[in-house]
Amino acid sequence: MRTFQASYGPQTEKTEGMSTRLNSLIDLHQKTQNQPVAFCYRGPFLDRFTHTILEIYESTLSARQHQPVVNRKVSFLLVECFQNILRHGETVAGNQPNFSDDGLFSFRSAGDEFIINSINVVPRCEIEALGKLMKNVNSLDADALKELYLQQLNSATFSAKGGAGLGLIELARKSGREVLYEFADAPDERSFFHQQVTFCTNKEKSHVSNWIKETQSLYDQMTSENTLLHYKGDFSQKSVLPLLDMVEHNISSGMEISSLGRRTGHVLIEVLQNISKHGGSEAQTPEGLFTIGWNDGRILLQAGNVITEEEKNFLQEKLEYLRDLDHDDLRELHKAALRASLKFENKNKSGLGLIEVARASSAPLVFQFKSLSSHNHLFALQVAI
Amino acid sequence: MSTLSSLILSASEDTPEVLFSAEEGMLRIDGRSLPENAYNFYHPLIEWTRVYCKLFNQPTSIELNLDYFNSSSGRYLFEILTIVELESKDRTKFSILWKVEKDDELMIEKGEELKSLLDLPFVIELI
Repeated sequence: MRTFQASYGPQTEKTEGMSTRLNSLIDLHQKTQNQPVAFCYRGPFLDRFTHTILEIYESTLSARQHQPVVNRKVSFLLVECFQNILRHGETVAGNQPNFSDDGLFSFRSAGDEFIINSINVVPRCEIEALGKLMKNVNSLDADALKELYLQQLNSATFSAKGGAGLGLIELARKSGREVLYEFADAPDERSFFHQQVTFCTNKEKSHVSNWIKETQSLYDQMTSENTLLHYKGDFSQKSVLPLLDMVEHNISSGMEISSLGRRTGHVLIEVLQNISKHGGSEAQTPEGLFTIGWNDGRILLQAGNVITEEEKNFLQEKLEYLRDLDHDDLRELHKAALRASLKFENKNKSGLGLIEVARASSAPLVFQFKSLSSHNHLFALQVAI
Repeated sequence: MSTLSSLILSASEDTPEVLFSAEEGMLRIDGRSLPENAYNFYHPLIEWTRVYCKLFNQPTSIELNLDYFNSSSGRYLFEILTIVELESKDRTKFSILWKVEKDDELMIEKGEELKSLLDLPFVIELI
């Protein structure tokens, strides 16, 4: 079973040898090019995050979708899929209620489809029965599903984990589509249960895309890199705050946010707000992507967005300069910039942000620019906390 | 006796709680401060402080109990404290209390930095 939290301890002076995950971020940008919003979370699964998932959806996608009925249905599907992992996922201790530490939850929008993929780990001995249940539900039309739903509701044969198959029936009914599923081998007599629920605004479309294979490789990559979550979408404050909450609570072990959680939150918000300031001006709302996880006892944050040639030149010069400064130099530079900022005309461009990010990083900043066209570049930045 | 209405703001998801009271001689900011447009949030606080320094010359506590703040909020906090330093009638009547959790290195360092930049009584209290 993987461990999410490595031992942290005080900040070390180590400044070299940090591995870079920027290539993974650049890959993610490439893979999500046709997805305005993509979110992927690799646990742990806690009840409190159900609300966070909804907030992320509401602040990112529901604003683009003007049919309230669609928003209500998609919100329902998101909650049901997320809680399904909570209810049926295996845990390390095996007996903690409303907690599952292994699995993956993701959603993305692509064209006229809104796709929710999830993975949870189930005992291998249960997959036959689960497969039968899935097959049965998928074979029924809308009327038969309704009938089965009412029948199940009346007989209410709840399993030990609180389900009676009602959730699955509701997923099929509300999405109006087959619930895709697959099993894959997991260690220790267990299996990965993949599920995909798709909501398509084009009712005429007979087939929806299948993301199960892609999701498995994402899970493998996130597991090997110990990534907690990735997000692609708008970087407006409304969208970023629920993500911030999720990150802070994951970094902190208890209910209270720890100082490491706050430090991570501080860096995350600073990086995202700075990145959006340097974003291309064509987009109405700032957009970008980020991933966060652990590496070698530290938290690694990678973030990126598309910038212009002019912005690239500015950032490259500034970051190369900051990268070579030590902690004391950065402190003095920050103090000088703070004094100077009082004289600036542009009240929200004080130039302090990147210095702040460099100071908060426990290793030199790592950055990369990938040319996308003659005018645009993907700017990718990695910060270690 | 001069009057100046209190400036009281509740905390939001990304802005701190504010209690600026001339009657109590208290300027308190509590919580986290991450607004995208920090100028909009801090402008009224800056103006209030400016008026306070002009009208009042009394013992005043400035209590800053911040979880963390973004760089643009930091710039305006510094402006508020600079106004106190440069525009108050007697800066020695002000005392700044920077409250911070004892294991929060980042906020301790930020407190120390502000302290070194200002000629004001400034205490960092570890809680």
